[in-house]
Amino acid sequence: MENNMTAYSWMMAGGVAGCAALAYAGARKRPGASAGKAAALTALEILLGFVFAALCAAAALLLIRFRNVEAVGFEKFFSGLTLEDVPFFGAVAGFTLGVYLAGKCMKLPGTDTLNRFAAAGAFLIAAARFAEGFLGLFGTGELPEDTVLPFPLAVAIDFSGDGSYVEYYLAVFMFEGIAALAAMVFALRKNAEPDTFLRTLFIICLTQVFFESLRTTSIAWLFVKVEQLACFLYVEAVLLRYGLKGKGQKNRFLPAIAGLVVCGLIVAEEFALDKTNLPHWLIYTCMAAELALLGYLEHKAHLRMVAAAGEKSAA
Amino acid sequence: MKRIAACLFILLLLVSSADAEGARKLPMDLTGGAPYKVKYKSDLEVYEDPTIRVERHRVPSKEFGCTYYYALITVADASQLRTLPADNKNFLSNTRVPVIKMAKRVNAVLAINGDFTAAFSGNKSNTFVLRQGELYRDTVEPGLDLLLIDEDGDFHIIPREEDLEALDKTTVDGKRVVNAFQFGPALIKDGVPADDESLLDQTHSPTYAGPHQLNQRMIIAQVGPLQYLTVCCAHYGATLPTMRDIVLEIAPDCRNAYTLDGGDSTQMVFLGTKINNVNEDGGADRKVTDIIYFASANFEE
Repeated sequence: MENNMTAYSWMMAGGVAGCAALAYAGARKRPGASAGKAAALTALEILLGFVFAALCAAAALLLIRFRNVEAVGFEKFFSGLTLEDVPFFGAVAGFTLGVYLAGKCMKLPGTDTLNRFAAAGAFLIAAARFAEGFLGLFGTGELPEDTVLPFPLAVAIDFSGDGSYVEYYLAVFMFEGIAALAAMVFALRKNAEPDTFLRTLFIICLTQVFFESLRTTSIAWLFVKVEQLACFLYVEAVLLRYGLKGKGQKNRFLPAIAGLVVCGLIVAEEFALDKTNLPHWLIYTCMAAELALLGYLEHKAHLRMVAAAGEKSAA
Repeated sequence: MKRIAACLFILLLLVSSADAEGARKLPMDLTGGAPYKVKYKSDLEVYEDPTIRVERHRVPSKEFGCTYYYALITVADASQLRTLPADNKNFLSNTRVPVIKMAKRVNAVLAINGDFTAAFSGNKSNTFVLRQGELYRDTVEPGLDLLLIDEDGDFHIIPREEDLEALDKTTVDGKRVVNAFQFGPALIKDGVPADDESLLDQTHSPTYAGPHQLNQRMIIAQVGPLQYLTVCCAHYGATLPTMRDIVLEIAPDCRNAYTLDGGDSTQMVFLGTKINNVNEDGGADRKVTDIIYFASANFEE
């Protein structure tokens, strides 16, 4: 069950190429953008994206593992890291910052640059998730014993080397990749409308709250899965933003309050997964329904905000 | 006569070489042991082959106020006491799977949860991790006792009072350390049981272990040369002094006994079947980062 780093690298290279193509297409759509300027922006976005992704992922890891860094020293700590130690949320936050700064360097509005990059970013995340399929157990989830499911629902991992002993694991990396592709389609359809980036990332983070719970490999602090918490914080921040921006609207904080309630429910469900005999399918169905409700509330809040903005401009 | 003697000599050589091939020292790596020859049955209490004997028991005890499970293990070679991480590669991995899955991968005759090596929180953040002869993390948590297992399968408990950081933890008494654990505390050290006050001191246990509370706990002990004992209590739990007393009840001459991870991580697997908390509402099997297991070295068909 060795990692297939060659296949992983090819998949990631393909992801970067696809991301660059989509980013270029997005940049070209900007009125007055020449091919050369769009290409320069794309190159800068990718370059700064990766640089800041690495920096922010490292910073996030420093926060999570501060006591380890303190004990072993900065250099030894970072030299011993593997791919599974990279915090997804840190890398995404860094990439976002990199793309924003790339826009600023080219004297373009930062948020517009991000909106035009949203589809490309979602594609890169999808590719990174699919590539996890080459990293053994890394992107997989626990299945009840003796459960056999076909790909792409599950993957068979050979622990014997000769096929005499295999274990089936849920192919969570496939679900995550498909969710990111769905977010990409969403971003392409929105065609760089305001908030496209924000909402595309909302879809990715909302679904990741669920998928993170399924994963066998997850950065945890005590019983808290760090990625799950970070994704939820982003979701809640977006919902709260609707409340803050919707001055004068009825029930404007309802999505944010629902977000907090769902957060509490998910904590209880995680506890139930660990401590009770409740059927896991039931717990996960509840979790999915709660997150779908948040998705629905976000959609409604967005429509209200767009309508309010329309009324304001008409007035 | 010479021909007969020669034939007998060749026969003897063949027999001895077959025996050497059948039972061999297991390699110092993350591979498993020989496949066991019988299937688990609920009434099967002893597994035995030329290289290993495991005897398991379940004891509902009024005296200790809990049901406890224990296994007595005798192996032919120290290499049969082994450890495995959840991802089969790295003991510092963030991967977690139930003990039963890891046990099946390596044909463990008996497997128990380890010390949750990859707990990066509280006073478990920097525990010493040396497994299957490889050093994974060369830091220590100064408040926690260390258990070192040498190449001969002997236990050495290094108490927290010693300078754990400065101490050479890769060799002990001139022998190579092949597995090391830092959870604790030690219940018995060199035949001397720890006193209640020491066991109940929270600072000597990992964060949230709650030594005074009724918690599930996994204990590993050495009762003789290549003879071991694993004990755990049922889900309503026991305090650390109670666990020490249970160990002494089972093995009064026990030399060293050490506390491993507990709570819902407490899992004892015999021939691929979890044997603790089977009939009780103990919840789903918690995913853990590592196991300790005893494997057969009898590769004879």
